[in-house]
Amino acid sequence: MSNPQPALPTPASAYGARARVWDWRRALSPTGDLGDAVFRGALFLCALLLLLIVAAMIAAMASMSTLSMREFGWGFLTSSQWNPLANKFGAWPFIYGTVMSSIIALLISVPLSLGVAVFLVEQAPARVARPLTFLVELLAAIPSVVYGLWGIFVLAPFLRVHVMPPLQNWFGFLPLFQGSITGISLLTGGVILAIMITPIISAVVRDVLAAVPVSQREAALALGATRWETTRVVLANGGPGIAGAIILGLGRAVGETMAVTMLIGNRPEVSASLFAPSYTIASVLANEFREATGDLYVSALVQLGLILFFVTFVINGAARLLVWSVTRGTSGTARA
Amino acid sequence: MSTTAPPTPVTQPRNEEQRQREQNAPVKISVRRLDFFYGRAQALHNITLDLSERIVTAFIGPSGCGKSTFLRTLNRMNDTIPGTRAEGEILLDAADIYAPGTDVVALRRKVGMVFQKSNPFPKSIFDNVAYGLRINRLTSTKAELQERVQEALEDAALWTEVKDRLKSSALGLSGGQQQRLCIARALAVRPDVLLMDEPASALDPIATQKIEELLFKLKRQYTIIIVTHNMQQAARVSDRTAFFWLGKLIEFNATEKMFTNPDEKLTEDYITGRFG
Repeated sequence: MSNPQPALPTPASAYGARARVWDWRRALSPTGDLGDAVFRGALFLCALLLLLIVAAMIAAMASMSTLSMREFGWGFLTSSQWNPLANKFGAWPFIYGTVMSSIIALLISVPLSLGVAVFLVEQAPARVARPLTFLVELLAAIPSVVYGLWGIFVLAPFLRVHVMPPLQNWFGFLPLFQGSITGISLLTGGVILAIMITPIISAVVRDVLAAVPVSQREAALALGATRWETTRVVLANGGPGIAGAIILGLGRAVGETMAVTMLIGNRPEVSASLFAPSYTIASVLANEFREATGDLYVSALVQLGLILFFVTFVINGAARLLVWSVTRGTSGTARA
Repeated sequence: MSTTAPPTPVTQPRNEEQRQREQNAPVKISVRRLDFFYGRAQALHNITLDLSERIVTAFIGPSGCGKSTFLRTLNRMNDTIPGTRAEGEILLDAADIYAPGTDVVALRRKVGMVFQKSNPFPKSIFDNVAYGLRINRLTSTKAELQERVQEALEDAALWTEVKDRLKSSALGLSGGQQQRLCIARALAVRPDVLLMDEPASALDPIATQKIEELLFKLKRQYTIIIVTHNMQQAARVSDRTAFFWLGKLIEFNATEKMFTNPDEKLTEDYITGRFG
């Protein structure tokens, strides 16, 4: 031992000879206890497995889609042709359908969700707010195929009879509301998405608003702010978190498959009309994999999957970051 | 006869003229037989006292004695807590603020409040002070708004420190500056009454001293009511002191008398540190 201060035992000497050579037990656990080491190793493997799965997914999708990437290049993103018989594949109709249905969903859902969350946090008395919060969170757990079924039997006929004709009457001069009305359309898909993401957005916004310190509300009230003005202060405080909640909802809308597939019409065409059928990336993947014949067809579908994967990955990452920036630290002391 | 030495805190020196002014100050807020409840728990018992105009009144008492609760009844801030109830009368300029149909928003504009923990909005320094002016539409032109903001910041003795960075975030100020900003924000709407709930308890001695100096200046214009844990502070800044204990008003007297020769044994015990 070449310790300059031999009076103080170094950890190595304190632990004895076993610590001098590398020991897997000590590497995994500070106490060197066998049980601890095994436990920690197992947990580490679990976490590692998750990363490996993601990496494997990316690798598999990338390798399977190389064929399509080589064939179509960047043109894949902009081509509107989706013709399996002629071996021509372009992603644009699906990208358009996915983006448009998500935008419709957000336009409807965001005001609704903000209203629900503000009501739950700022207005409703506790005995109303608590069961209602529970209900909202329950809605988020309903399987999407159930939403789809309800959409087919209730929502689509309702929109066909009571919503789309008046829209066409009043705003028929806009291309958005032209064309024949069948009830199965881009709009219907967007509306069902709106209904599905509202519980998610309002639940997260509720948490964000609840994390805004009471002192902020009191500051506004003490200056003679009305309830509405106080609510605006609270919303401003939760700004980034609310943005995060909305993006989280967007992520869900972009990736949602079953309900949209049942209602959007599944036609790979870009139409200016919201009343026309459309197609989303998730829907085409669900629908066409079984019958995909030919390597290029499969490869194009996998490439669509890869696009969807990255888009949702980025969206969710951004959303989590924003929500976290607001609720971190404040959630524990929110009511102090 | 009490044999204890007179309490230690030193009250502010005052001349006969001041004394006269204090004695003759008209009543601003008159509280009559006030009871206050959190659900079933009664927090205030039969409080009756008169708060005079342009006088600093301090509320002292041990934790949980109801002094903060009482302060918050004066601008009905307790309304925001579910299950609270007030009985009795609080007359502000002879009008009962708990009467049905009272405009609480207008009341709170008249009765400003500064909280224990400074709570600036996450906005710029200017926007913080301008907030009350804007929501209450108290100014008609931009120039007038700027003038009122500057005036409020000057009144709060903060102007020279922040005049070059009005657009930067209020959250970048020090704790003491933030609290003075909150005072400026409250002053900007020109309230009649200023309620202060332990405004210096989270501040260091120098920042505390600045706030106390501010109170001397402000009492020429405002009726100030301050809750404090710190008896030296009550003695230094206030003209009158009310001592609360277990939700009851034990004694309400001129600060000088309160700290030298209180009427109640309980007050004396508290001030000399026998309990609390």
